[in-house]
Amino acid sequence: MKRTVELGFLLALALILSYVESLIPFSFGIPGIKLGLPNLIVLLLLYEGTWKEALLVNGLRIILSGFLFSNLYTILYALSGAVFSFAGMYVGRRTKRFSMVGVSVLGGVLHNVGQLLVAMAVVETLAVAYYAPYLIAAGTVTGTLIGLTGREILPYLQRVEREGE
Amino acid sequence: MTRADAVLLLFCLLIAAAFALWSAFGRREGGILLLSCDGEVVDKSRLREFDGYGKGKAASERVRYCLLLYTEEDILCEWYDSEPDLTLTVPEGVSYNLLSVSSSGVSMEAADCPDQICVHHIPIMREGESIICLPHRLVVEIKGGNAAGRQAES
Repeated sequence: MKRTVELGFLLALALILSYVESLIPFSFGIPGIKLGLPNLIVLLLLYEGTWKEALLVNGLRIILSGFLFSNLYTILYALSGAVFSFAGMYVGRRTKRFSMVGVSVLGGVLHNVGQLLVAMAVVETLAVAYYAPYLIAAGTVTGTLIGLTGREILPYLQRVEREGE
Repeated sequence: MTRADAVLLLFCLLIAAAFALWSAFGRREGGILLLSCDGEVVDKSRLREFDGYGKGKAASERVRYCLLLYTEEDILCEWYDSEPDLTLTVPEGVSYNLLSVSSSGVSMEAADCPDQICVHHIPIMREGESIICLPHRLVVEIKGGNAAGRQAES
């Protein structure tokens, strides 16, 4: 029961971050470039919880924020990026070779590459391939920022959980 | 930061740089504007025919507009010399994309798609660049080469 409440809190936090992100005009005219703030919560859960909890919160976050701030079409598109991103971060976490920064970079880059591949499949064209360098570079930079933030926050989150027991 | 982190960061940046270099060398100013939907060609135009295309701000400020209408049976493509009034040209219940071609390149002026990603896209100008409207499955692409342009004309 207590864990359910904690996950609920983290889900609410992820939703707020989704909303904050939708307010920041951070686009550079290249589609797909964004900060990935909600990914911070998924990253923290991968370290502080189980992968199933991280997956659950991530899935619910995308569906709920989709219905709140955008539409069904965006949900499907976001889910496709999330599948790639989550798989990358899960594997990165499991190997234990990366720090939070490395795991977050894997998530950021794979999210962008995944969405690009889905976009290619949907419109049946290779024309979007020229976005690849921008998206990989952007994923690396935003992933690093989110990873560094996560590294600072994790000890506090763990302390809160310990004190709650 | 672990060693694996550093290797990963370097690897990603190198891949991005390699991709960017490869496309920068392979790209010239484009010759053909290709519009396609679901992989099928809707319209093909030679950019040469547009005054001042890609010549920068100093060149003529003439702007051409292309309005795409998605009716139930077909996709209609209409060119205009001045910005069309969307309230008059777009029938009710029909979705649209409005493109402009000017000295600063090809850009999406307006669209009724839900995400508006195509509208926020920077203007495209060089070979291989594209603007995609995913909800309408529209691809606006610049193809290179004058030879290919003549083929398209014939």
